[in-house]
Amino acid sequence: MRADTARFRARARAIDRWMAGLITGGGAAVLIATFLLVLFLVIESVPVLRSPRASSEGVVPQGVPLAAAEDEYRERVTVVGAEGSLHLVGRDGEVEVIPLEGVQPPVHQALFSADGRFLVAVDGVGRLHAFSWRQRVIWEGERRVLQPRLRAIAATAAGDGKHLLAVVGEGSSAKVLVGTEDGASVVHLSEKSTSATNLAVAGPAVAGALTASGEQAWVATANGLQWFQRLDPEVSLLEPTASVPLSFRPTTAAVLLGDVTLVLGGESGEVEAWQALPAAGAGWRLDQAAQFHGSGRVIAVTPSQREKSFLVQRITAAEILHLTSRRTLLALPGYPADAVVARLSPRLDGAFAVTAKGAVHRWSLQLHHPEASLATLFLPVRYEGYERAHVVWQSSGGSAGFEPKLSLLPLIVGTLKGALYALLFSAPLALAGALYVNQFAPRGLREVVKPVIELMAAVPSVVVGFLAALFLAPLVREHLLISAGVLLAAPSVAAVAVVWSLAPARWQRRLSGARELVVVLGMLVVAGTVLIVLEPHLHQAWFGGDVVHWLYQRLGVTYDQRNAMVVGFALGFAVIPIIFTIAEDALSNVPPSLVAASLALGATPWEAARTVVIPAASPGLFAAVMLGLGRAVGETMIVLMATGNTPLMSLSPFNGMRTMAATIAVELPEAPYGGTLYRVLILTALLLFCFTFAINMVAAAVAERLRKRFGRLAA
Amino acid sequence: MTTAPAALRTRSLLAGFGSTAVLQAIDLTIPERQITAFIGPSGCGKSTLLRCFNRMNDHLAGFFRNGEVLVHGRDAYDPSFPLEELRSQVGMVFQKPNPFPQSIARNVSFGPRMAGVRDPAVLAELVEASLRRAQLWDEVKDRLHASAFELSGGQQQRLCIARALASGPQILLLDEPASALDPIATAKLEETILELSREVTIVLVTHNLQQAARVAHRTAFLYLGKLIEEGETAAMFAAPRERLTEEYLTGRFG
Ligand SMILES: Nc1ncnc2c1ncn2[C@@H]1O[C@H](COP(=O)(O)OP(=O)(O)OP(=O)(O)O)[C@@H](O)[C@H]1O
Ligand SMILES: [Mg+2]
Repeated sequence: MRADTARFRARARAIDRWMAGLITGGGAAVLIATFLLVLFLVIESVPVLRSPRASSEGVVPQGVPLAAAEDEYRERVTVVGAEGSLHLVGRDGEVEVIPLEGVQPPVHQALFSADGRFLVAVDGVGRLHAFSWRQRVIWEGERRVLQPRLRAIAATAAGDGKHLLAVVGEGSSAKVLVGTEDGASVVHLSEKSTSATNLAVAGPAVAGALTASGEQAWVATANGLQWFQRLDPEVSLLEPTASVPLSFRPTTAAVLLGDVTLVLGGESGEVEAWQALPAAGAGWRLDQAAQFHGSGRVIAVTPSQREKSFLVQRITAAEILHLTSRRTLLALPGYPADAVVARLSPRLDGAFAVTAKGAVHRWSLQLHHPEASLATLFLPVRYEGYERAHVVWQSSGGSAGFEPKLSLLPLIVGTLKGALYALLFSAPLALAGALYVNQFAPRGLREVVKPVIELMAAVPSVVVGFLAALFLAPLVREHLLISAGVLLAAPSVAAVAVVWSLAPARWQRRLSGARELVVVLGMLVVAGTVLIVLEPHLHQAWFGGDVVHWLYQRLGVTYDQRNAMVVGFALGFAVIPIIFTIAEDALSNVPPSLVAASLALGATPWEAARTVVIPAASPGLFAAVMLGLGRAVGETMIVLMATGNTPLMSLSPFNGMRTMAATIAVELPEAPYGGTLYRVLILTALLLFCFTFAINMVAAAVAERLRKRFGRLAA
Repeated sequence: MTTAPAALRTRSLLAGFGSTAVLQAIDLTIPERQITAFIGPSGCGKSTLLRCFNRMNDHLAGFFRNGEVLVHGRDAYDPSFPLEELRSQVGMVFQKPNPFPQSIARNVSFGPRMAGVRDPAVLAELVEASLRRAQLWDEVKDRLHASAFELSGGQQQRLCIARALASGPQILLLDEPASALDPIATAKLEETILELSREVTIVLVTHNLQQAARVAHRTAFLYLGKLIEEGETAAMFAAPRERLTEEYLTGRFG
């Protein structure tokens, strides 16, 4: 008998120890998993803010250069020599020479297009030659071989006193912007014909640029900037459309990828970005979009063919700047003082410079994510085509020249707005419901209501979102008045209850328990019926037939079908069970003896609830609302389907929104791994985690303080 | 039998929960300004009967009642007799101390505040007077704003008495108030009760026969929902009229 007991004790102790170990291990595993998750988010998102880097790669000597370009694989730099040939300089110093067909040495001027595919040169007899320049990739087994192909397009007499400002080309035709003594002209060279049209420039052109299509031209004179545009599709004439005086002497100009922004370099180091915007009324005006600081005369600006960064070649330095973030990303280290040409590699993974003596300097670039900085992520940014700084989320667009707009603010605002509207709708309902069910409802009702509300949590959120988007949203839009009535139902009942509480006690006593509930439900049914019957008449009488139209006409309020109100309903539906369940539990944990004590002291049940139950349960009630908030912030499917996903900054209940969770869900699967968008989305996930973590911390801290204030409850 | 006027009175009172009758045909008169003890084995209906006097049973599921309960001659169940008024006349203290998670002062002033008293000076006066009557004043006068949970069990129970007294009841119902207390705290509580009985009618449910003998002027013995015997404590303990009473008093059951 005693041996049995001893053995039983030993077994119980062993099981105790084993379970304690298991539980501790489980808890530790959860902590470790959470930590690893956060670590992953940090590791994947922090590189978005990594600073760009450049490293110098060596020098290869060559003859006197006029212009240069590099191939996509950065194998060879092609230098145009004054003696009239191309020098393809390899990394090991090996040089291949290709003569420029038909060109009379010495070559006076040469210029590559921004993409390096077209070359124009003015030769010793003043003829302007245009070439197409390609390097085809051929695989010899595993080895990549670039096969150069230089093709003369056309040549024409250029005349004296002309200088090359810009060249763009397509297929077998090229357009060249040429500066003359009294203005500028666009020379169109193709295999079939050659023509030149003069631009109406007010003075000799100093700098200029063409858009990729050649449909627009920018020309800078010593004291002004002019913008030309082809207005008549029948005529190839570029007409002056807008102009603006300049406060500095320009030296060079280039159009950035996307054909919207012109970058101007100046005599004393000025670098400015300009764009054409529709003027008030009609026509266009030129608008200074950005100013960069730096010193030293700007010799040339070459845009990247990848994104909105560009290389500014100064007299003794070369810098890489970025338009969107308005940052100087880096200065090329060890830049030679006698450099003549400096350009970016086509893939933006490198840069090179050629000195007057023909030495080729190369740099490897790792710009990482220049369009993402703390400022572009969290502050208003002046994007291309915008008149003012805005916060915009638009991560991808149709064309290569699209400027990604990665402001997280609309997403943060959208997330908070969705959560706020959800709480506005669900928190009062759920808390009041919990209080009613716990303190006032007839026992039978309580046993029905609680499981039913808990069942609401079992509805998959995708179903809630689907119903909200496809069923509720059109219905609310169609019956806006009835929806407003539904929103007002709870406050109205509360108001009636307040009035009723002033009625004589004898009347009140007659209406208690289940009878009270029936009367309230009856009132709601009657009010609802009246509203449904009256709605069409109200529409006609007050709102001219359509409330949405009326809102816009009279109040200037825009109405989206999928809006914050609908999201409030739908998200509220998901949040109600959480708040209700936790709040009800908190209320249940208030010892009944406290309620009995207050009732025995002559308090009415409502007074007992107000003065004793609610304060005692307040930590739990607060925690309930906070957990509801956490759920609303993190909820994905419902907001994905019901918000319209428009990243607006509006707080209006009639506008949609885009939340962080929905953005991650929509865009992460399509974001290239390791790219800027990918990292920004992971950063969003990290932020979301911090949000919910902070909410839970605050909930815990406040609940703890409340618990201290209201003391331990007598067991 | 008794010269004092009746504070509480039941006439063929029948009460129960659901389909079970717990009290059957109780006819009982409780005189003013005396201590009346209810004794009887567990489950015999002492608490149920006590709760009939301030209608606390009304909040329990399935409660039903038949017959009259008179409080100072007025029908407690008359719909025109507001519950709040009844309860400010008939105070109650429970088996376990149940102070609110608030300060000592706020605990005591709860009843008056519910009755609409707002003036802080009046409330402070009421708090002091009630605490004095419950013989707690000297122990807590320096920490009126400390949490009630800082008090000992016996002090908490006297706080509950003070809290009940603050509403100014003429009748105080005590349901085994000393069952959670140690002998010293019990003695102190009994002293308080005896002192109070000079101005307030007290009904005391107790399992402790010595306690009934010590403090109660009168005693009522209940058994299986019936009132078996009622009378002056000394007389009843010395010579019970009923055999059941005698068996209970001599400890043969219960
Ligand atoms: N809320 C209730 N619902 C249903 N039955 C109840 C309820 N309260 C008490 N009863 C029943 O009524 C009977 C009397 O209970 P009561 O609490 O009055 O006994 P008591 O004499 O006070 O017992 P004790 O000395 O143990 O406190 C018991 O059988 C009990 O089961
Ligand atoms: Mg009892």
